[in-house]
Amino acid sequence: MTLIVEPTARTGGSVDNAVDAVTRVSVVPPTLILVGAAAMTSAAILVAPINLAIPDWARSSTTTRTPERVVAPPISRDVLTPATLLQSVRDESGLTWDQIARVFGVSRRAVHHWMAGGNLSAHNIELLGRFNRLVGNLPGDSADARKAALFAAGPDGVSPIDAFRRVVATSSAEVHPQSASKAALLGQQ
Amino acid sequence: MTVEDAAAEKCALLRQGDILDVSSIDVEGIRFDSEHGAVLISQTCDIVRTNGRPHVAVALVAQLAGELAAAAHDGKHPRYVPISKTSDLFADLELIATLTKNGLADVTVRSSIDPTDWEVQRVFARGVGRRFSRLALPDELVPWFDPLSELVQKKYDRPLSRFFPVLEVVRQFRIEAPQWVPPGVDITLHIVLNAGELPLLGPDGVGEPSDELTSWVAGGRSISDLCGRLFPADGPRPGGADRDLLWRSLADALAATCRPAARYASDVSVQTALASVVGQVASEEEFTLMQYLASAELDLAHLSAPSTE
Repeated sequence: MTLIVEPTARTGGSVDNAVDAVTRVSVVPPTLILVGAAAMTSAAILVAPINLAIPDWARSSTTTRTPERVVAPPISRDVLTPATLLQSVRDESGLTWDQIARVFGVSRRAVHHWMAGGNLSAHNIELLGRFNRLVGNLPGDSADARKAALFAAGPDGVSPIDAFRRVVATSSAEVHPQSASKAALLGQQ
Repeated sequence: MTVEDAAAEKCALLRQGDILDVSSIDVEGIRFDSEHGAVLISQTCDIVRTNGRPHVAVALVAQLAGELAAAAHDGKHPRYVPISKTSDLFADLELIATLTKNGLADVTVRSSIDPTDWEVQRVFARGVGRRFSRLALPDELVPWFDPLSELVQKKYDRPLSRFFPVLEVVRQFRIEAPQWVPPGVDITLHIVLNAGELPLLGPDGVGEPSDELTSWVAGGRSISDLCGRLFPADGPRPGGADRDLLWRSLADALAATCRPAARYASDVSVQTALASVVGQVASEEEFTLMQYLASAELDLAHLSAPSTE
């Protein structure tokens, strides 16, 4: 199954255009069309490259597919909103709402508002797409198994979920000055 | 006693906010007479410690009156920081000079901020910091926030307006973006509320709002309508999921005001500067440090230049 952007959301039909529409849409969050029935976990909602310190098994060839191969003929069309995508992430990963909020670096209230149809920024939509893809590429045939994989430390001691949190933490421009060094705080500089 | 020792002894008694009895200060070689002296704006710890800190910064003291003084007291003029709540004297942060501590040995202090009044000290320090630590919002983005700025400033002085009680529980307006370089900036407008204003979340959120309110909100409501439901003139305030929905809707409505005025219609750099604005409401105790570091307080008083300067 593949996700494409509803024609009203400024798409030219290719996945590249769909990605652009998702990430550049103004004010009103995009409505996505779910094409097919069962490929939520391998959905290519966003194909922008990601740089996560995640194991190879967590990466899928879908990330390198060409748009022509990704967009399959529509079988059925169910409307996929950010809220339904978020619910799917929760169902597939077994994470709690609080854990999902921490993944995206927002308050739990923000996540509940997203679930209730509240607007997400284009940046958060992009992150949601990336995290959905990460969850979809986890091994295991149950939420518990995927959750275990999400928390399993890799060779470098960092789990996929923590690697993703680091990506999120560095994905926004900090407007506050960098923290002072301890030496500076102690007046030694 | 050496000059250094005398200066150290003197500086040990000085604090930020002290008005020094100096007749003038030099700003880039130009002498400005200071009838009312100059006020120390360096932090007290930097004034007191002489080791490696040989200078202090002072600002010219200006005497203001009338509307200008009132606006400065309200924080609408970042240039002028009130030295106390009731004083007509202000630190003019446009005119700042550096003095050597050794030169302060013989300078007398005209007046001081009450060292026991921590609140006055804090307000002064915050006013000084605000002038220099505001987010340098790109010029092309400023017109997008003018309507919100005007709304807040207009209503802030009108306690009977529907929007006024909203402002009383708003802790801060903050803005966040993945990157700040136009064009195409995506902004999240955070409306951070006092703790306790939003209902506490249960394991699955706040539950479902009433059908009546849900359909009412879905009809598309103005800011004034939403404020009226949040703070009804009579009767109890809504609680739980209803209040949460009203705040979320108000955040959306406030974000929707962020549009440049018609006079910018042909200004491509302004029109393309911003790609989206999303409103998000949060309680102050649930706003994360990560969000705080990635966001800046929207200085609504300063945005509506040039009237603020």
